Amino acid sequence: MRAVMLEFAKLRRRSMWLVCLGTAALCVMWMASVAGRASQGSPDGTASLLYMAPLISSIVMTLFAAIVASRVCEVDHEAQALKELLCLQRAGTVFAAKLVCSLTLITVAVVLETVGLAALASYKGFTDQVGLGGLMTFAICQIGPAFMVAVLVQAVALRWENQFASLAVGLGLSLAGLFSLFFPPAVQRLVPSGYFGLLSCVLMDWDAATGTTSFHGVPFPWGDAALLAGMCATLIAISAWWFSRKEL
Amino acid sequence: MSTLAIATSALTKSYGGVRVVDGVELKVPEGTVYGFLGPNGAGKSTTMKMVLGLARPTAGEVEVLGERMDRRSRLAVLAHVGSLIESPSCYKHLTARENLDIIRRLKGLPAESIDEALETVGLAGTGKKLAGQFSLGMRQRLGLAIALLGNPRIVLLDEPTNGLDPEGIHEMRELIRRLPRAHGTTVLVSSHLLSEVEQMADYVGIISQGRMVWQGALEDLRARAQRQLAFRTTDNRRASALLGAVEQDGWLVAPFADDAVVARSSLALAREGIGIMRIEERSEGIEDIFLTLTEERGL
Repeated sequence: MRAVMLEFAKLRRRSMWLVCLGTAALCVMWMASVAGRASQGSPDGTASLLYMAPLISSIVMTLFAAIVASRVCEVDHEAQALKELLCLQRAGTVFAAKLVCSLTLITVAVVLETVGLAALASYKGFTDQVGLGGLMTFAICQIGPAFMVAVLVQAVALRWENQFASLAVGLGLSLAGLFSLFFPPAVQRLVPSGYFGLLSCVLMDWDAATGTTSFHGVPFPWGDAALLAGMCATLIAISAWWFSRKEL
Repeated sequence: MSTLAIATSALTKSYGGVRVVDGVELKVPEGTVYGFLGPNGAGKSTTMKMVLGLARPTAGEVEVLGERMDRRSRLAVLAHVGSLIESPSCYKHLTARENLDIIRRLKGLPAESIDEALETVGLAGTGKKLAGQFSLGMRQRLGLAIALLGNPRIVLLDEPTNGLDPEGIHEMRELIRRLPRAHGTTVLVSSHLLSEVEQMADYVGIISQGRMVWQGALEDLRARAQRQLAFRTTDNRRASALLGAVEQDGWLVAPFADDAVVARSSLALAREGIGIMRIEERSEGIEDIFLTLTEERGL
């Protein structure tokens, strides 16, 4: 816990909470534009928001997770502080604290986004309101892929001091995540940010004959969630091992 | 030598098959200032990094405060060690106090230790000024304050006067000299400048091309300085046979001798009709010894 608090202390004056708030605000504004097209009191307005949110997150949250992970690592590179810190902390502790710091910021942004989504649905009077359980499931399904992106970017950011590499990975994942949504699930599973779509609990049907769209809920995709968790755990283990072997 | 604060045995580090540190036996007595001297690229920083566990030795062992350093004991041992390796570590978007607070919390020290460290290095008045606005010298002092936080038993300083103005260098030197007396601290300070080490160290280790070429008390190094007598005569060839001296650049060089011997020698030369034009007493400086030791390694 002390190590995590220190990570936040190092980020002082780095406006990370403002970036967090801005990211959530951007997601909510994007969703508001979607909600604006639905009629007041629509019976599937919330479902349309829950369907759109993963697409928005695959772009915005992926970039946010990359920026957060990169910043959390850059702060020590820039200060040339690792040679100091690693005399006082285990490499594993430093690594884990940085991940928890990124996870906390991601969680706050997603919670704000989720609150914004619920507020939008309520303001528009959508009749298909989801309960707290549904909103929590939605939030977890946004946090999971964003955390995976953060893990990947942290591995790169700790490997190379120049943060251009980690931000390039973030930008690449953001675009790959977006495009993967238009590919079959097998392709989506290869892209960390593709899991925003895979973990979505709402699907859309489009009737070509009538030109209408409808939304329906699907069971929680446990298989993909387990696959994401497994990939995350493997990547954490590999990059933490590598970081502990790093010589300064 | 008294108890050793740092001892290495056959410490070796290779990068890509090239030995940058080769079998170094560092012996740093407790409560002293040990000057680790060598030209740039001699292996000083790499040795210090291995002492701190920041680089893994290819071979050899490190003992700090009598404890063998390994993965398990490393952090417990380093809790008594402060360091400033290469450039000073500082978060430029934080104040000096905030920078020190991060290390203080990691070391579990009381808040007052920050004031003490800032006072010691002369940064107490920096207030809300961010470290990014500090001059290079101030950043160096901040790095030193981080190393000195909590008065560790050992302080490792790698070229600590880099970037300092002459006044700053003088202050840093005085501060380093004071540490053993004030807190019983052992200081291992590296430098490529002999004059600097000469003014603050009790013990000296000279490293060249990764190998320790000399180690011991500074006084012993000074004692190695040879004193000689140099003569210029009207007939150096005959005089050299008489005095048993060697001719070098038009001078006859003989081992140092007392006044009586010099008087007898001059009379002997006069009897042979050889005139003495000059007699000089020469002494090899500590710098000459340093150069000889490092040049012997092919530098």
